[in-house]
Amino acid sequence: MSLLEIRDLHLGLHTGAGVVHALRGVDLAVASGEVVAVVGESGCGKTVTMQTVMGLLPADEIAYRRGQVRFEGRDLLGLSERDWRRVRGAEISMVFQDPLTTLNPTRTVESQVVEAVQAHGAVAASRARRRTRELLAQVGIPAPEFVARRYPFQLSGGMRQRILIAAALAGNPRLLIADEPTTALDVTIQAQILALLQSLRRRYEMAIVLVTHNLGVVAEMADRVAVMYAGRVVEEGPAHQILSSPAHPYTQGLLEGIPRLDRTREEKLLPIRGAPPILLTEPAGCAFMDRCTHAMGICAAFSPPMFPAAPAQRSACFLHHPAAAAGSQRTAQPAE
Amino acid sequence: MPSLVLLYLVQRLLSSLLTLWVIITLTFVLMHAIPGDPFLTEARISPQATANLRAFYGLDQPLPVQYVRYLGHLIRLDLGRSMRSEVRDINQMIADGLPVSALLGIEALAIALAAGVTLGVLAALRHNRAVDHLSMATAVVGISVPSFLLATLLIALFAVHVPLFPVSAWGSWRHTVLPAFSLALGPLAYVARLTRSSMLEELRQDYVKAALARGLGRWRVVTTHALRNALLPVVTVLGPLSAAVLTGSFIIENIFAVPGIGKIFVLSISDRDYPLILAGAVVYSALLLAANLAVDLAYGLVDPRIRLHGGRS
Amino acid sequence: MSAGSPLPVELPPELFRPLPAERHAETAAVARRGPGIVERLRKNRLAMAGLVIIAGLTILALLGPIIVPYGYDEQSLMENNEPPSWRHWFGTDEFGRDMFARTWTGARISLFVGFSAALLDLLIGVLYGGLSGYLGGWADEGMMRVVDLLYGIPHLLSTILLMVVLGPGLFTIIIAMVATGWLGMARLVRGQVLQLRELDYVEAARALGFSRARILLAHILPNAVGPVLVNLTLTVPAAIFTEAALSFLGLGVPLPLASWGTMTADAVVTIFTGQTWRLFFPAFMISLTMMAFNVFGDGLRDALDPRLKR
Repeated sequence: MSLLEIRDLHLGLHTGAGVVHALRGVDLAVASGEVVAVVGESGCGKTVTMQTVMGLLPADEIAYRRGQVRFEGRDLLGLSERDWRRVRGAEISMVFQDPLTTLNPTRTVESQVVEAVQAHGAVAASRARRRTRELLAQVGIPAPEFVARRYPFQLSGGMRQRILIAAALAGNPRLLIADEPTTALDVTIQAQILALLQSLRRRYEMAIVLVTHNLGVVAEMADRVAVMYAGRVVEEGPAHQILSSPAHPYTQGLLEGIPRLDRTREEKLLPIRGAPPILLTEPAGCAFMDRCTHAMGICAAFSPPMFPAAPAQRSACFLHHPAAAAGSQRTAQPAE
Repeated sequence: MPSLVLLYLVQRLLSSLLTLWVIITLTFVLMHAIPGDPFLTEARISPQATANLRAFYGLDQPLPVQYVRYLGHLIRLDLGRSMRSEVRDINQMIADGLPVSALLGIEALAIALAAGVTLGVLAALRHNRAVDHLSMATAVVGISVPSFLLATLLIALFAVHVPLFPVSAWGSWRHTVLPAFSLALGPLAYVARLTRSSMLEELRQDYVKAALARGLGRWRVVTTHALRNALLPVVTVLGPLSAAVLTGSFIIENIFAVPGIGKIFVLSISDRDYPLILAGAVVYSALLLAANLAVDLAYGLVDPRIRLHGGRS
Repeated sequence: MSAGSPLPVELPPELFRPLPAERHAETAAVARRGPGIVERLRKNRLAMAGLVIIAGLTILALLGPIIVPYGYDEQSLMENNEPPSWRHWFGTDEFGRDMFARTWTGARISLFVGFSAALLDLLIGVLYGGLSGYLGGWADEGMMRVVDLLYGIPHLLSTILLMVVLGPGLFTIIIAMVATGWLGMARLVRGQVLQLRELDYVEAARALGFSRARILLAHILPNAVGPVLVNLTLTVPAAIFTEAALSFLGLGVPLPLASWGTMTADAVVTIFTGQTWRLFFPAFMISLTMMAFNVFGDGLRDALDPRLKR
């Protein structure tokens, strides 16, 4: 049984311009102890998905919500606030993108981690402080007693992120969701944080969902990858497989767009033409069609379900429909 | 105390003193720019008596000399003699009136802060629901109705119509209720709106979401994280708030015949009692600058970013 | 899965023919700008109500005294102290003067004071603040030091002192109010100018060779207009408040003129004598006017706020 299972999640959000269909049938599964990367451009719905999993979307912003989210078999969508308190931090924990804004600027680091420790079991203050020092040491912070008494603005970005990770681990969660944990950090620090996450994952036997738009991070850490576009998962499979032979045209486009050392300067960068659709209306067929070089007639008519594209790899594209091979053969013939 | 705060304090003190000096000088110039002889309106005084009076008040000296003498007096905290009142010594008048005004002012501020913050927080927590709309409607009325108009309304309702409170004068706690409330409503409404928007802003911040994500209870996050930070702007605004209460007290004390310095000051205006007017301006300005200084200091201590970093960036 | 129709089992092979390549891509991101400023303002019903009230009060101020057959100054001692009736809609005062006519004549004075003070504040503030921000450097520092110094004087206090010096009068009131009232606007404008000078697109414009004047007019000013307009809208009720306060201190407009402030101050005694309509109408009008301006100013401020997404 999967640790986390998201099935056919649809979600609409209220915005100033109307209802945005942010999630249009997200399917995702995370097994115990594995690292799953969720990749996509800004606006594809990856953050919204994670916030839904954590129950952090304000209720008055949600226009509609359908589907299932289960953690260890238990439904998460129907939880009350009180139940959530027991889940958040203790079973599933989340680390956010910008460590500066996600720490309270007017309180010491120590007080915030201690607070997290105490939230998961009534612990006396002195024990909580000791546990805090332990956690800070585990995330690689030098001189934890000194750092603990500092305020967030006195510390570097990398340190702050470590502290957030420490606070997230206070309850020994089985699943850690890291939403772009390294995007706001320098490249050198990024590597350190990723290494830290790896070691913590082994030590705590924790599964990690790594949300990112950086394919390099994916290559470093992920066991499996789910590629999201316009509110859906469009490709999914083992990381090395997807990175070496992507099946979905969107994933292919993403990989082509990465600047590479082995290319010459004359070869242009190949971004994908166009931009992701704004989901105020649900697209009739495939959401990627307008930008896709392989678009076919059927792509305008129906939205593609997931097809198996390779062993353990699935892709939501009609190119992988059994009839597609026959059709593409036809194109080799002269036009009628 | 870290030296940064000390430096800041000294800086502010000097700048306040400078402002005070400018106010004093400007007021002095203004008072002496008034055309006409202050004694001309006194009925039937012999020229000799007039000359004596002028000498007594030092008005026979050239202006710069008068100015320097006045500053000298001020440094010795001597505010001079009133021309028109029965009690001549201005220092005495201030000493009598200041405690009364201070009591009224503090009472009004306390009401404004306590009720205003409570209302603002409630409105923010129940955003866009009945409590929110009601509180904000009340707040709009509160900042729109001038305090003196409110005072007349309160007197009409609660002193004349339904004799709950005395109309005027001073003596028991009952005498303080209507004036304090009239003074407090405007600032209360302002504080309520500020607290509400500040609170809403804090609740939107990422660290609130992050704290919730760590499993902290909603209530705890709201009180120990969001509220604390939301109140910081309210502290900043205490300075202008005190100013509003101060200037409001002129008229309120007049309406309710409260024997504070506001009443003295207003009387001095209608009497054209120039030394007293001058003294009033000095005292009020000094009080205000002191209040602003205190607030700045308090804010510096409360927000660790200012305290340790010297700035909010 | 697509919204609604499941994939049919039988699919004609033509569907799998590739589409021609040119058909696409200007579509997608026509970024929806979201509702414009005026629309956001219009949606705010409270602010619109405020605007309507302001317009209504202005119209009544102009037309009110003409509608009724009585002059605001016509005394009729036989009819004094009458409560509101069909003949005298707002009643009469102690001299038998029609309160309706007096209220709207008073409106003219109060609104005149409010608008003039606000406009003069605007004029002086924009010139001073704009100049200071534009010059920058030492000139800016010096000019702002002066502003900071004067800002420390409580506005009501300085207005009172000036009134004592200048003596009573309609225009002296306006002058006294404006003398320290422009400081806020100056600070605001200077801040706007400074901010906008630093913006990247101003640099870009300079790089493209646009003259400084054109930059000022075409780029800086349109963006600064918003907060300035809000400040202007909120200055009017402050001026009306100050005028009323001065009236209560005996420093209001001199006879024969009458403003809402002086009418209210004179009528305070009616709490005890019973002719409360003399007090109610001017007092209510002051409050209503202030409320309408405050609410509209708030709405304006909210509509201009770029952060409010909803």
